[in-house]
Amino acid sequence: MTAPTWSDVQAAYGTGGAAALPPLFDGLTEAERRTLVPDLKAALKDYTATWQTRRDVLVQLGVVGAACVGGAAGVSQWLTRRDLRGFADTRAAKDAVMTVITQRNAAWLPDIAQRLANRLTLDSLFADWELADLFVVAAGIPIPRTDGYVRGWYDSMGIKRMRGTLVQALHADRRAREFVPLLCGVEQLGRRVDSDERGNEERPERCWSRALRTLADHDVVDRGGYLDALLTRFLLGVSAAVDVRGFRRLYDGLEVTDAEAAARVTVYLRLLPDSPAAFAEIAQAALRRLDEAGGLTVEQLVEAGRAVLFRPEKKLVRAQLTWLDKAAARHRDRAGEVLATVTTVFTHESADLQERALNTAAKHLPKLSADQAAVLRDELRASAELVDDTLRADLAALVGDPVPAADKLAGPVRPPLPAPRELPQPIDGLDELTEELTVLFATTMQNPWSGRATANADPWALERVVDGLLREHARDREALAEAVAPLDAKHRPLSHNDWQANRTVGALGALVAAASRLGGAMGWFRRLFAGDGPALTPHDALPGPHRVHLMRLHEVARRLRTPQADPHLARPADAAGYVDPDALVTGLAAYEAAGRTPWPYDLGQALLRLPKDIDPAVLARADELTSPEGKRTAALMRAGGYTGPEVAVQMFLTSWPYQWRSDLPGSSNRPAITGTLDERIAAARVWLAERSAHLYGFDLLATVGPADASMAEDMVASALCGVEDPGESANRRRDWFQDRTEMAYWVLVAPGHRDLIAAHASMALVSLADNGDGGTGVLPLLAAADGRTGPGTALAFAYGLGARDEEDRAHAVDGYLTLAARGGDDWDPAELGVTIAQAVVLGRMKAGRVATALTQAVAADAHEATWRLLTGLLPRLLAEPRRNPALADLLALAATCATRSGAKAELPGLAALAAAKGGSRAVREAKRLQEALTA
Amino acid sequence: MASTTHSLTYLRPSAVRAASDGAPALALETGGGLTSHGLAPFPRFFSGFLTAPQAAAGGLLAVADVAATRYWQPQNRASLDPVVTGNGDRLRFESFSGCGGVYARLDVLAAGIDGEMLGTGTTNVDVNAPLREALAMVGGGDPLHVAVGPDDVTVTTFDGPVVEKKVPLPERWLRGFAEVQVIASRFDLRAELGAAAAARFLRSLPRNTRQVLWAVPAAGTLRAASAASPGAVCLAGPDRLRALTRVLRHATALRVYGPAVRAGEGPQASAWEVELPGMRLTLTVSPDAARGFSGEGAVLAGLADPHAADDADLVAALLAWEPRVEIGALALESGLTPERVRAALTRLGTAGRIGYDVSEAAYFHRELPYDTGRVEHMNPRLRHARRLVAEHRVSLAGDTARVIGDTATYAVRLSGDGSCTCEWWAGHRGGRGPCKHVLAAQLTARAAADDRSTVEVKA
Repeated sequence: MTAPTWSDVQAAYGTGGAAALPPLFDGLTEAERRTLVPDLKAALKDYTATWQTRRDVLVQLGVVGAACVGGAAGVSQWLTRRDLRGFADTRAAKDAVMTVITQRNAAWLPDIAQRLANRLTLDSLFADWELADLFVVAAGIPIPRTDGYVRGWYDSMGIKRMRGTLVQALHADRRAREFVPLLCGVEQLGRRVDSDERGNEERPERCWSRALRTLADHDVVDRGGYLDALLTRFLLGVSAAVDVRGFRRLYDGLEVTDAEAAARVTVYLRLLPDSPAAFAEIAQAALRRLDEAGGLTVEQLVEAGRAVLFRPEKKLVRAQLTWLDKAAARHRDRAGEVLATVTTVFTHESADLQERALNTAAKHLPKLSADQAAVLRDELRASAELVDDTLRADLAALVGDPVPAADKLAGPVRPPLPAPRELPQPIDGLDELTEELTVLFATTMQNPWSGRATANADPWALERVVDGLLREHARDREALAEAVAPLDAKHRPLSHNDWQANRTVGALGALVAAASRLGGAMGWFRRLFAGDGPALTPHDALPGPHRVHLMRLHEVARRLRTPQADPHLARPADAAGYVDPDALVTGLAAYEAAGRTPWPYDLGQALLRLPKDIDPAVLARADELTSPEGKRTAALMRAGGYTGPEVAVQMFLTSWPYQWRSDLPGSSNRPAITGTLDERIAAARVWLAERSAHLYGFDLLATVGPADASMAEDMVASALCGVEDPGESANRRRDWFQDRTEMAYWVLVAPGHRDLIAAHASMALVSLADNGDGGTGVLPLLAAADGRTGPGTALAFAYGLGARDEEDRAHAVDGYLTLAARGGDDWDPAELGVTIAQAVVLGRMKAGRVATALTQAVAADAHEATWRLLTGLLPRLLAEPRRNPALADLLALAATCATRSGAKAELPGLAALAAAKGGSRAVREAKRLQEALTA
Repeated sequence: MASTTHSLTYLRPSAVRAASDGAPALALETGGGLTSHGLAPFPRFFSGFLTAPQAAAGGLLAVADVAATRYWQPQNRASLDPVVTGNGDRLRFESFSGCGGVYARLDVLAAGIDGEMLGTGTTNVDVNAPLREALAMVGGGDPLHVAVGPDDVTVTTFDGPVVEKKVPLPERWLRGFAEVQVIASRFDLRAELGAAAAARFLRSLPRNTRQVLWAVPAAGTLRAASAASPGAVCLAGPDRLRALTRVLRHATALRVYGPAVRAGEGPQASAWEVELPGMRLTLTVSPDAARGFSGEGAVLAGLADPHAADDADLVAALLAWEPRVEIGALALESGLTPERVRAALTRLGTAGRIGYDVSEAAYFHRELPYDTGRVEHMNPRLRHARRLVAEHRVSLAGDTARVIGDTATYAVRLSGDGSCTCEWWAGHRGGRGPCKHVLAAQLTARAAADDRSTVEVKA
């Protein structure tokens, strides 16, 4: 007998399908089988060379491979090839594989079965599991304990239950008893159980939790073993929340009896400290029920208390305190030891919880026997160090000690000034220029997945490069072109794309393309280099400062294409970003002498960078300029630069959440709201209360007034003005302006106009209360910048301090600390406080987040500024009919700040709260603050 | 990526077994490793009691957690076993995360153990699921008996199947494990927090973020800032400290170590040490959750120095599993200057033959139980730089050089630490050491200087 050829295989399959293949190989020797291997490999190569999936070829490859490839290991390897995944997806194909192997050498079965099972993963196809399972059953080996194998069994039951109930399917499977405990060994099965149960809420007969319970109750499954397996899973830990939910469902379905729980007290106790909250909750509930039935010793109760009370979850801690409160009555003779565990709560950062813990101790202390009271007192005294400052006096009073003096009275009230920024040295030579350009490309490039820049934008680095390019361009154009040509070749393919036209990385590409004198005929570069109109893709939503920043870079690119070496007027001469007025006048004079007109964006940018105080000698020289640009510059220098447009904070109706914007009420349906901002806010809340508040919201947005005469004359300066209805464009801007990290560049667009830039930036920061879009990196730069602060700055910082994500808030706190360190009359923290209060009252910001941020700032010594901020914030919160949940924290913070900075003042509404009835923490903090302010 | 497979053989699985008196006893099984008596298949280092069993069990689990985690791709679990060193008066359990970005070490100090140190040396220790469960079940205040390594009777009489594990050992993982010691040797203490402040700070860290935070000491605690300032400690990917939460409730203090930083500097590595009763658990995290320690380039200068190799051999011969390596004593014994001893120790560190304890600011002797012989020679950047030099692709011109790379020609400036126009350098700006072009230029410049001095001597 000879081995069939590959065409025999194809012919046989064509007539009889997979079942026709085994007879071809029956009785062949191993040597004869080997002769087909080259054909087989060639067929596989042919198959993988095409991108089509052809089931018939796959089946032939799989079965013939099983018949011909050498050795049990070789066959297993063949059957688990990635390119043959799931080939045996029909009964006939699987039987064919099984038949060829048994015909060949039945002794291989156990080895192949084990190997197939070992190769299964959680992502394996079900057909591959079925094949492996066929071998496992045929070989009669013990159930392989691999995750992939167990998961496959789980799925197979899921399929079988379709023909009845899950209980029937499990009942019919004689291996169920062995498999069920193994299910708990596979961490990722949790999510499958969870989604399965959620999808089958209507059909309880398909739910695993119920089915396993039924089987366990009828002893088809070993109930104790199953419960132990679940608890072991809990102990070993489950990392993903979805998996936690699934295992929790299984546990809940089991309805563990008290007797079962009593036998497992130690396990439950060990689950308390480290396991996921859901499991700790289970353990806590089980132990509490046992304790109520008198099943726990005091030692166990104490261990449970210590473990749970150290956990960060407030819910668990509260439940434990309630339990301890009850238990103290039950274990009267050792109540002191039981209650002493509440001191563990003092490691918690929440003063509310600490107060609750202290109250629990205080409630029982008078009723305790002398020795137990002493135990509790000693323990309380020992942890007095840990307790929140606001509770220290209460604790001292409770244990009968003298009230400790507040030790935080002395100390600085302002954070230290950060080191001033220094202007980096100009770029020295072509080598450094190429380096810096490479760096800029690397840092402005977007991460392709997140769309965010990979590093924070550095406006000073960009200015250095622009200056270096213009300088080298003036010195030796040819050498510059040669040096940057490789960079151009590398980046042009990306940066010339139209969607890069409105981004900094695109502008950088244009600069390099222009300097290399090669690029220019592709994509948006054509628009840039051929015409003289705007090269941006039309987007009215691009914020003004960003437009100026980009258009100016585009103009530099155009300059680099010309042989002319004109003076660079906008070069920053100090770290704040101001130009040197003397150099500006000299530059303009050079233009006049050459009979040329300055580049408009260069001049416009230079004028935006004019310092306030200019040497009279320079002014005199400026007056001698004769060109219209020269005269305009001279006039502006005399006027002390642009006075800037008016910035204000207003309230606008916006849709909420942001993605829905087409359903905003038309103008006729909008509330007619007038008056001061506070009156408008009050009216808006009434209006909202009558409507579906989850669809609309009122945002605080900054408006920028129209350009004044001097600004209107200049197209660069006027681009920063006139944002009068930000409500209309707010949503669009949020959608379209993605380069938030690049707002850093804006700081050098108008160095002396901080509030204006902050107002523009605030637009992008509005959404931070709801998501972590980032962009707060601009806040520390604004804080360190020159120029007045005002409503725009207040709004930008308000949104930063109230941001949802800790990482966004961290930037805001850093900026706030710089502002606080600089102090002075220039910045009014109370204005920031008022803006925060307005945003909180409008429901756009959570006061708790602000409190967290301010607590961090106070830890860094920003007492003075924070106190002033709170004088703006607190009165408005105190006036609210519903007490804000963060009020107590803010009052406590205010007390700390007022004490340290020695402030004496009257806060409207404080006295009323301090005099209120009830012992809530807010009332007590109000009293404490009142005392601090009047003492 | 180069990777080898490492086979581990344990006599039997580590487990908690009932001792003769019925009390539970933790038997940690050891694989082969170098000891003070040479190579041993199942070395035995310790038998006795742990004085704070719950905290110790938590610490061991934390070390095992780090070994089993890839923090950058958490869905792929790693399968590596921790390393244990019998180090004179103490036991050290070390592990290195699968992603190569987190190093964990539990030092069980003399105060934490009550028993007999039976030997010194380094080996792997078996960790398995039943052991984890048993460790999680350790409770109560009774001392727990622990044995590191089987006793002689067990070794000679045990006839069950041995435990064999085959684990992939990527080269960069091994290099990172070794080099993290050298990186840590530049750290200083930056902050110390009490137990409550430590718990509060670690819990306040943002979850599920890979962002870089700067912890700034403020009023007895730490504040998370967004940018570097003098005295701040970088924490990249705060989630990577989660192994510490296992022992937080036993902690008495948290100490934070890091290198000196300037305002606005890029991310750095840092070490976070939790003080436990009689123990210390330290996590050292890399400057970026996405990258491991192996590419930090901290050791390149030492490796490139041809003289350090001989010094290292000399110093290595003098080490004898000391828990603290005294540089002064080594200098006396070896006849080298303290600077050269330090350079030699750096080199031994990169070969995995020495560890660094930030808490004591001292090296300790341990030899990683892996084939690390060629690790130091395998440094890819150095290898590439040497290739560039060998192929004469470097042309020096005063303080600058042109290096002909594979795809382009790069301009290197040698002043200071050197800089280059390649993309890799642009991405890190010296934060991860010199690029291969800078290194090649430095090697060429050094060779040229050596030549000149030889010529001068001859003349």
